[in-house]
Amino acid sequence: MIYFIIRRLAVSIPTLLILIILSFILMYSAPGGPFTSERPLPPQVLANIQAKYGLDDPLWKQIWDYTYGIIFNFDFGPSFRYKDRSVNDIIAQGFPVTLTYGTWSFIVAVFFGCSLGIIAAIRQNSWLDYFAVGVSIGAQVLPNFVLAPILVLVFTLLLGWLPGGGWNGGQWQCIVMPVIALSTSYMASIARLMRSSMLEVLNSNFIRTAKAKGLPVKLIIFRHALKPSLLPVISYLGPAFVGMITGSVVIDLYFSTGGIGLHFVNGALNRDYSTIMGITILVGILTITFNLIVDILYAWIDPKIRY
Amino acid sequence: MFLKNNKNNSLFNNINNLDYIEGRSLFDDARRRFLLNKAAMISLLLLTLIVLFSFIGPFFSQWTNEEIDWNALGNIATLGKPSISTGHFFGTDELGRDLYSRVLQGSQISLMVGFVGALIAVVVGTIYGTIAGYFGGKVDSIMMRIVDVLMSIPYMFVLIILMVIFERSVILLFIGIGLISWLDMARIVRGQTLSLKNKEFIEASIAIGVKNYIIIVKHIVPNLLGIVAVYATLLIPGMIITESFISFLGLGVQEPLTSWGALISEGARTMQYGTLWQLLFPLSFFIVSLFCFYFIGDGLRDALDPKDR
Amino acid sequence: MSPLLSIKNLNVNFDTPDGEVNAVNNLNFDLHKGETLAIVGESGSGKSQTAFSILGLLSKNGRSSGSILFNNLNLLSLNEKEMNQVRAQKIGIIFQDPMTSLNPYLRVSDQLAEVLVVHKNNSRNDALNESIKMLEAVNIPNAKNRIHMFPHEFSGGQRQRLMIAMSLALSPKILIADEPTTALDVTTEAQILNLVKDMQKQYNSGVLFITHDFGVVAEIADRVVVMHEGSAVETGSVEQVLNKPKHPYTRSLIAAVPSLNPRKARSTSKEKILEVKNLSKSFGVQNSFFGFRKVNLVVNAVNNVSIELFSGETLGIVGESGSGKSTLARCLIKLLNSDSGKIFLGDVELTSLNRNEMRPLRTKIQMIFQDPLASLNPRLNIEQTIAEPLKTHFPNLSNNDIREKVISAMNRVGLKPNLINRYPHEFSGGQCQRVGIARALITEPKLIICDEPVSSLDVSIQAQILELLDEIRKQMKLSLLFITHDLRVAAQVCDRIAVMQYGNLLETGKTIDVFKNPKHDYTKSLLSAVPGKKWKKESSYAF
Repeated sequence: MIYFIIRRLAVSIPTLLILIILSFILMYSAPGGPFTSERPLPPQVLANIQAKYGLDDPLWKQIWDYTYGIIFNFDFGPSFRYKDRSVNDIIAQGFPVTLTYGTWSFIVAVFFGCSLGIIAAIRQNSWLDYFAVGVSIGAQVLPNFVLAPILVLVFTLLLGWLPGGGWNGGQWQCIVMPVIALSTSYMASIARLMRSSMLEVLNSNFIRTAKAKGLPVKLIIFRHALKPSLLPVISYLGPAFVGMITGSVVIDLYFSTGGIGLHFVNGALNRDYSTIMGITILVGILTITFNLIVDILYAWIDPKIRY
Repeated sequence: MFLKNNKNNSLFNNINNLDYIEGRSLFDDARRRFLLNKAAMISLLLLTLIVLFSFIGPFFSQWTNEEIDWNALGNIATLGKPSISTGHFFGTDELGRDLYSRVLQGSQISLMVGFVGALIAVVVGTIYGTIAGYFGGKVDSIMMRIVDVLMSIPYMFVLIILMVIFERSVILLFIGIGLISWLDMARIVRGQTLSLKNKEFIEASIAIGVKNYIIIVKHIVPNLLGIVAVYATLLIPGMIITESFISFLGLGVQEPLTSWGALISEGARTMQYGTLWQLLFPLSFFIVSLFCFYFIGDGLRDALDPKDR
Repeated sequence: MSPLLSIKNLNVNFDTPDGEVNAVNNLNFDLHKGETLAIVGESGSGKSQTAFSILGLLSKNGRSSGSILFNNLNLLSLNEKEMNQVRAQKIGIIFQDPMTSLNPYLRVSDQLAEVLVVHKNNSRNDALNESIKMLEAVNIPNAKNRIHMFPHEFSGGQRQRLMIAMSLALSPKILIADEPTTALDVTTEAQILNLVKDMQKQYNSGVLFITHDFGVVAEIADRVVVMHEGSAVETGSVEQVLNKPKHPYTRSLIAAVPSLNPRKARSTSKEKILEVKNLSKSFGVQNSFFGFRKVNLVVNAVNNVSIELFSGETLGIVGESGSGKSTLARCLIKLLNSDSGKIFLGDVELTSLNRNEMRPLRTKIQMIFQDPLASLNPRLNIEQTIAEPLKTHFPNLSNNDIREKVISAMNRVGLKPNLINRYPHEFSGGQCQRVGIARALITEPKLIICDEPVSSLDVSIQAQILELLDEIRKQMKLSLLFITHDLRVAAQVCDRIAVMQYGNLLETGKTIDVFKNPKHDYTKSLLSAVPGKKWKKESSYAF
């Protein structure tokens, strides 16, 4: 098992390095940035960047400094736009927000998705099953940017129960709609995956053996069927996680929650390259880490993969 | 059932008189199952109507998609309502432009992004996955490692960065979105190729002496088509959602071109002023199309691989 | 004495999208205490569905009616809860494929112990100790440590022992065995059959043994029920049914079983059509990332094997799984590249040829595969499949010529020419194998390598295909390299046989000599393990 983890780590680290280096090169070759000869930035910003990157140094040294800075100091450098803020400041401001509603969305999607899927599978072809499948299909055509305005329409404009946006330091009324908007389509996908996976497992030979042993239904489902059914769902969690982080951009924009997604879009519109690179790399790190956790979880369930 | 050899010649002479029993290929079976699937057939019909409407509908519109109706401007909430008389069948947007032609033009873009993107993903992914799966060994290891590395890159972000750096253009959008999903398709195709490669009929062909490229084209690819078709149909809505997402953020197609995402974004912003039609028309097209794609994809999957639903 | 289990008028039907399908039709039989009753039949006879309906294990779309009386209860009328009191405690069952019948995600200790915890209310510790004892009783070495392992860490035979231990843990009155040895090697099969016999004596239970193999029936059964398309066509004691069968179906089935009495070698020419000298092939199981390979395990699949095949003869390669016979076959036809050694097809040396040089020679040496359906491309119709060798080697043939040759080949193998547009999934297993044979002989080869060509077929179809192969061999003056694990088939089909184990060629000789006087210990154990060897029967066909 340890060997497996080490192997996975060994692949992750070069991936990260490639990501960072590629980002820097993109930033370097971007038209209208400080690295080109135009350098149209305000002088103080330019001074910051000069101090940080040594703009007249050879390319490989700049790459080295940048990478070193990220890996060992967790320093993403100064903003290309704001003279008195570094990318780290910007990230520090937005990340806790994204983390909060992101984590909640993830938990909601996984918990309700799995439960719905399991119930639908156990009670196949009952009204509960049709309801669950119907809801899943319905929710899958309601991605976050579609659901967000609908939620606001209903809960803010029509019913007036929830505020239409803002963060207010994490007040629960401000978290509800972002979480619903973000998690719904993933919850639907997870439910469908869980349902079809569990149906397949319930038809397998070893479940027939479990039945033949006279085991009670609950034991068969939770001890024998659940773990293998989870495998496809776990594989899906990686892309789901990435999807939610990406989706947080919409949430920030629409609900004005102020997470890193918002800063990313602003950076994109303002050509604040270092910020958007920094956030991209951060997301990359999170993705790689998360994928690693998912792989380990998968191997923990499936003993054949470990060796 | 044993027909002795000496009957060979006379039987052969009678060939033209025998009724050839038409074979029922797997494709025929699948098609029959698909045609029986009500949800899928209705979705196919609906989708075809939407596509036709998007491309033929503009001929009936009385306004272009960028003309501003000065009469309606200033009081959109009452004067911009959908009506036959003003020629604004779907009403106007907040700038007074005809929503009917804008929605149709947006449909064209969104649908094309979906199809073209899926096409790119399918072609690139299938070629990549087949080569990796068939040749195996080192080639496969390296190719799949590259895929693993690329999958860790948050593509959406990179795409947005590219759109920012290199000016927004529709072509870039098509290519960029297509390139996001080929990775998944490559993985799936590779997996299928690997399992096909070990099947005995491939061994039989190699033992007969068939050349490699003929094996790939005649034996492997046709047996991949099923799963590729299913995934392609499920890819299209994903592409449309991706494009809509980018446009919703204001980073997608440039004005005066528009897409469903951009229209939904605009419509959502003006919701509170009572101009709900600006949201509901593009939203309906979007949701109905996606529904259709999902049902068709599901129908294809059931047709090609029937299992207990 | 009243029977332990009494089945009366059992009907099992399935709801399918194509309508209602009947699997078991008005079945009647009894099982008595201490007896082994064999249910024998071919695929589709309904024998497994009978077993499943006893314990309520039919799939969701199955409906059963009639009565299954056990302990004065009609098992078909019980609900799930009541049925759970019968399962495992009163009636146990073991299945055909131990790999998929054990939960691969749970440790063996958990799977074994839970039966005791749930039904006898044992504490976890007691259950564990009890389970270890059961493993030792079924001869699993080092049970104390191995019990915490996962199923995939055991061999096939050991997994079946685990299943047996699990099913007998609560000392049930009846053990149902659904084809438990079909997926096992013959030596392992012999061990499992002995185990079942021992367990039956120990617990004095009734055993319902389902199989398609008459040899197994001869080996362990007291009474037999012969099933055909859902009905019982004959019931009786083993001596009576096997030696004096009454029903025509039983008669034809028994006639199709090859006798263990080996055939005499046919006379052959002195011309060597195939010579293999010191052939070796090994596989390394590797872990690699980024190109750094670390070889974990080296498997010598074929180890220094030398054989000769004379023109006109049938040489059998006999061995169990892992013996290397399939690898050898694939090296000979150059599907795999051997590591060392030489292969001579007539005068031509094959091992040094590259793919392009080998191509024209492939018209002379062809192969027939084990799984008839899998050896045909499901997307091509029969004509395209059979024509493929022609198109590859004779690209200048006109379409009409090709069709002529295809039809002539189809006639040779007994397929009606008007089936030419059909697809593989529309055919039965036997018909698919005929297509495979037609494809193999269309280039008029000199040598055909048959890799277990009848192992996946029912015994009656097996007889037909073997007869067909023999006829073609005579007509086209072919030499056959016949690979099989079934000693009965080898006895009837092969002039000479070569015995392989773990990649090594242990002994070669005329079939009749090897069977009567085996030299190597392994050959002796192989021959003594064949079930039903005491059953004296002659084949209906002698080539």
